[in-house]
Amino acid sequence: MIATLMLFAGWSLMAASQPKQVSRIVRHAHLSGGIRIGMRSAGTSLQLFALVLLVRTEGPSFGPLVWACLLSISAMAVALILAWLPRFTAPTLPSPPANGSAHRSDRPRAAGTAIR
Amino acid sequence: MEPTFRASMNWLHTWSGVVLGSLLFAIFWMGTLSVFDKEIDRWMMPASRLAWPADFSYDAMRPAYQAALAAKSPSVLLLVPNERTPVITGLWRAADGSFAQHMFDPRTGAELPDQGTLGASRFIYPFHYSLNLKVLGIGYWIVGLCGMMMMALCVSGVVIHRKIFTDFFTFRPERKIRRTMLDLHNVAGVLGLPFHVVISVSGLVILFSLYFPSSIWAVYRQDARLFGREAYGTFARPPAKRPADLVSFDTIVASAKSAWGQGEPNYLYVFNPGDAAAYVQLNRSSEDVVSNISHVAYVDGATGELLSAGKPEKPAAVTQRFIAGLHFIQFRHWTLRWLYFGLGLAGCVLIATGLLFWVESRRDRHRTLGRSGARVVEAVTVASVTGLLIATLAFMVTNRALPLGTSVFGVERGVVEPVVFHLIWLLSLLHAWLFAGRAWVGQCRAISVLAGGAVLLNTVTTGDHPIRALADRQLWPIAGIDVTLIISAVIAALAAIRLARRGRAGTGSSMEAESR
Amino acid sequence: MRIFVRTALAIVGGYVGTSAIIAALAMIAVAMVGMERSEAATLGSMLGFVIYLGLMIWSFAEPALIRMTLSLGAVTALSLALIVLLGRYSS
Repeated sequence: MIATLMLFAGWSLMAASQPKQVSRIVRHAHLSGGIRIGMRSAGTSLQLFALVLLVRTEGPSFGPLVWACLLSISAMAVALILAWLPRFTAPTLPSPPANGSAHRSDRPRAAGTAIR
Repeated sequence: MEPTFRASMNWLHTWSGVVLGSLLFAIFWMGTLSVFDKEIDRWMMPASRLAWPADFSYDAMRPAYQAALAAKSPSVLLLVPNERTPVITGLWRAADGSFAQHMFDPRTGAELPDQGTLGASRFIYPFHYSLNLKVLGIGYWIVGLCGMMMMALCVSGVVIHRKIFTDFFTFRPERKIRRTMLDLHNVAGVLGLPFHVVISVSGLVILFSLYFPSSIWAVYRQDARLFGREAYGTFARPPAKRPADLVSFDTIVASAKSAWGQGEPNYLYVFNPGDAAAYVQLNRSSEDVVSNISHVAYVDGATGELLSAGKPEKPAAVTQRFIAGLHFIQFRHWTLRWLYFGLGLAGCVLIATGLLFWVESRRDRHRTLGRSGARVVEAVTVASVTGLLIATLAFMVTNRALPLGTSVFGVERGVVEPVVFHLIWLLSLLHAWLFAGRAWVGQCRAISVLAGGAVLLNTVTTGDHPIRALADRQLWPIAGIDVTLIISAVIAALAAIRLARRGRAGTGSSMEAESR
Repeated sequence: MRIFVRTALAIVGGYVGTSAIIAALAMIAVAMVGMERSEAATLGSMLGFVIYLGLMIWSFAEPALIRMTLSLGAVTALSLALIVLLGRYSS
């Protein structure tokens, strides 16, 4: 039960993240606004559904606590997977176009934004 | 102080991070280990790796009580064994005023030999909340300040993180080391933000009466001692100076349970032992709730009658105990416990990457300007991160390497272990100062060797090797620790290899640090 | 130099100020709202952490050191005055 919920929370976050991160993997993809909203709604619904399930199985005090912890951990798992995914998917995808992609993080940001 | 709010928060985040980062890492690291402090205790005290009897009889605690009586202690705290601590623990004050802790078999009540170690619950856990600095309670105040600054760091961190939602999942290990450090710092911080904030504030709220007693003084004036009674229903009475026997513990517990309805006690605190006015304070175990509940019952020692029972029912007190419970995590919920451990490690990564990012971004600038700031912080960072891990492992390895009862230069093992810890920690600082950026490789190798060595020593000295420990339910704590040690050894080894490779490939100035 | 003064004021002054504020709040709660003593004390103490955090953040955000010092002092003085007044009122 708990494992399934972990998947729910995890992959729902994955779905919610697709719009922003997808260009890192597919390079020249561009999701339309409608699809983006759809994915984010689906992701959020899955997360809320996971909360409901956890409250049902764990009780009103343990449920939200487990949910909150799982939310963080699964988000971190998604970030780690996304970090290393390009290495595995790059050979199978079409090569990126010559112009700079629309994704912001590929543009070298001034290294000192957060430091003085 | 700076023209814009964001710039001020940038300054605050940077400087409180640099100054307190090492301390914060130590507190977070010891706290993360304390999630499994009872399990580490089992690892360091092999004689306590017993099976918890499901049919535990409270009268098995009688011999422990008798031992305390013989020591003429004014009170004796008897901890009821449970799944995580399958031994009866008795704490009392010996005739010479010294504090004594003894363990007893839960089935027979026979005393177990002195385990000759502080273990996790008396070294690692107190380190977490007081840095083991007992003079004037200064350790509590330093930790308290660190807790407040952790919250300030979280707030300022969010303020200065401009694209917090765009970069929500951004972690690019393929970029330059400084970018990668910052990415990881942001990911660990933002994704774990609820945990970092809640754990910091809840830790502080536990000690609310120590850190902010002014509100208690203000409304109670001279009657401040009444606070405990009014908030939690505490009870006390002086001894009658007439000897009397204590009734059976099973009777006493039954009386307490009549006040609670259901639930078992987690401790029996006997006041005025051996006296006609003896009474026992029992607290209901909080294994089935999040809150660190205080449902106390007071039972007369001579008759077994219920004297009084109290539990905070008013909102502020109930809230405080719930918040405290979020930090104490005394509940029985293994999934949640492991989740807390994982999030605690994320907190450690957060702090370490923050320090590393600062070092990386200042290293070249300081070298060309002739400033030593970055070099000092780098040495301190290495010592605080990998050095602390090495010292912790050395603590555990010493426990297994030195047989029970041995002493070094006349100092018994229980004292040698903390000495080794601090000595190794100091040596790691020296090593870091001498080797600068190259120190990481050596220290990662040391972690790997020590972690693996710990597992080997456990097998050699106790015979509970990981495979056997996984098969036997009562040894699962040992299995958990050994497996974690093995995984840590592998990660440390891989890190050392990658760092060495990067060091050979890169120039001197790009010798960098990777977080675990 | 100013940095050290500001930091010291933020940490020590902020703590003293927060203690004064929560003491005053607790007394107001008991005297005006009729809250129980133990409740007011516990609530005040817990709020202390939040208030201290707010004061700390503000202490480093406020550009003018003078203004920060005076404001902190004023709030502390006001709270102490309330404590003295309420103390006389209730006894």
